[in-house]
Amino acid sequence: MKFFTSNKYKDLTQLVRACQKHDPAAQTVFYDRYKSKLTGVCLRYAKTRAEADDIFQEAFIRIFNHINDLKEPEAADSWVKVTVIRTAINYYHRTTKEQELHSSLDYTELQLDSGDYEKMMDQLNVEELLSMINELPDKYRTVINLHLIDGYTHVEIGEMLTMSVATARSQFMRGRNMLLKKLEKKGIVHHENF
Amino acid sequence: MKTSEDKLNEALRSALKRKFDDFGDQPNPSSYDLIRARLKQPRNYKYLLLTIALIAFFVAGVMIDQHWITTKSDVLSTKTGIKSVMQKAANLDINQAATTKNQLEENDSVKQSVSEPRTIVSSTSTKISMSSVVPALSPATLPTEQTNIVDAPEILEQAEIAALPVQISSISALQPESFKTTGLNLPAITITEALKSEPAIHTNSQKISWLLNLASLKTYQILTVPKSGDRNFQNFKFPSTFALESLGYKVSIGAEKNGFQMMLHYSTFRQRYSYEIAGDEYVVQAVGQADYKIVRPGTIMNEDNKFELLGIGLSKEVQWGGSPPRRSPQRRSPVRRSPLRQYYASAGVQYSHTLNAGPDIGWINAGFGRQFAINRTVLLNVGPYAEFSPLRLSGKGDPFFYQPYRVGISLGMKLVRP
Repeated sequence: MKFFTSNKYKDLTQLVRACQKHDPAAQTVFYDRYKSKLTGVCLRYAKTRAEADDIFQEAFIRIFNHINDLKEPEAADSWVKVTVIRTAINYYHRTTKEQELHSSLDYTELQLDSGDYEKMMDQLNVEELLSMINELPDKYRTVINLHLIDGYTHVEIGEMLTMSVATARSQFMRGRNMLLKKLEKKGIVHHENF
Repeated sequence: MKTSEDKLNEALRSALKRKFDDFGDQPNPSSYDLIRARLKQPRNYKYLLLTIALIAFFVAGVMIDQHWITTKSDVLSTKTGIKSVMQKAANLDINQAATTKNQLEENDSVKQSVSEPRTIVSSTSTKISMSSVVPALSPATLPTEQTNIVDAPEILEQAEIAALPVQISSISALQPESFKTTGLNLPAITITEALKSEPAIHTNSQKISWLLNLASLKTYQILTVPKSGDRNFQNFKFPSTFALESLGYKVSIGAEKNGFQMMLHYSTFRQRYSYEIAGDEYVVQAVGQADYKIVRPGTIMNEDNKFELLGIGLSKEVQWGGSPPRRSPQRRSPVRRSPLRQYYASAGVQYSHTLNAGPDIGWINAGFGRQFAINRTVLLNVGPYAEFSPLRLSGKGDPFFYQPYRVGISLGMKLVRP
């Protein structure tokens, strides 16, 4: 438990129990423990830094207000992450206007094979990759994050986004292809620059 | 068997996970303050218990009050009811009285130990119940042919009443002709100096009492910072708990009847705090040698509002705890308690209009304390007092909401009509 800077809370269970009693000191330690990681999650799901800040604050308010629902304190790591992801999904449910998502990406012809895309991603730094993900339309960005990074299945994504599995799958395909096109474009520019 | 699509997805997943698994960033430095400001306030059981205790005090006070009112009404009824006592006695049949006399003789020891009631029957058959208030009055001195001893329960009950010197003296005022008997030689009734000097304040709750209160109150507030999309607020600073700058006062005048107090209030309090509107710059400051912190400089805003309030309030006061019991050294009369109550508790509501262009405020108030008698018509009470606004009010020139509450000491004077 490298995060713990206070001797008052010996482990995660004690920390969660203290937060459940609304102990302000415990809430501060809890916040410090998760703030960096969860900011990263918010930045992935958000379109802009400002929206990421909003989602982050809203998620933490929800975490502290509902921490009594957490019956197994040792599972706090995954619980807070799921809470942030669900907050991000709700945020875009509320704020996103119906976007034009029916582009002809189904017929996009990919130029490279899977190994090339992997190498290309490895060459990019996190900020560049994050910027590409952020540029995706809200629903595509959400599905890409859920399926490729956070490991949710299409069935789970369908339930979370209240859509059918087929819709979840097709949105993922469209989002993925859009991301790959951006990668190709970036890769070519990257290649030309070097 | 994996398709090329699956392979592509796997390659993307592994690459993205490598990049983002340990990805983190620093949040907005003011985020935590904003989060804390918007957290639900935990249930504070201290306040809940205090509220329950106050309600319990209130209910107990009302019950005690009712008990005292009942007792008092029994006593007070005799003031105007001496006549009815005499009538009750007069209605007793002489034969019944004779029978009772026998019973009385049998229970003489018991009778003596209680209050030795004796009944003097006048020529008009009116009976006056007297007890051992007058030591000089003995059976031997009573005219035997017109004397009858009655041990009716009503008379025994009224024996204590008749023991009050004031009430005895009022008997002659009520029916002086009933004492015009040739053979009746009533001794003079003397009132001891001890009784004369006792401060007995008869607070008649049916009559209007006048009130004047002064209170010194410290004002606090619960500030709510609403979500603001374009502005971030940080570094709120409030006066310290015991700072004199937020000390205010309150003057109240009014009237009371049956424990209900209608008051007019004038009060002042000062609301002072500062905060910052965060700017767009982030400054990294070194903390020690190896660590750093990010500070977001902001524009400092100071709020300093003085409120003058004129209000009207209604509250209910209950009193309990009689003064220490008094016993006359020269008599064997039962222990009596002073009508003055030692303690009071009050709770009520108040509506205040802000005189200097601010929001009107509704209050819930409560107080309790000790009551003293200055003389026969003036009571002084002192004790802690608190009032709280249950509604959130909009700030003056800022986007915040606040709920003021005031805590302090109240000093009051009550002019009573005995």
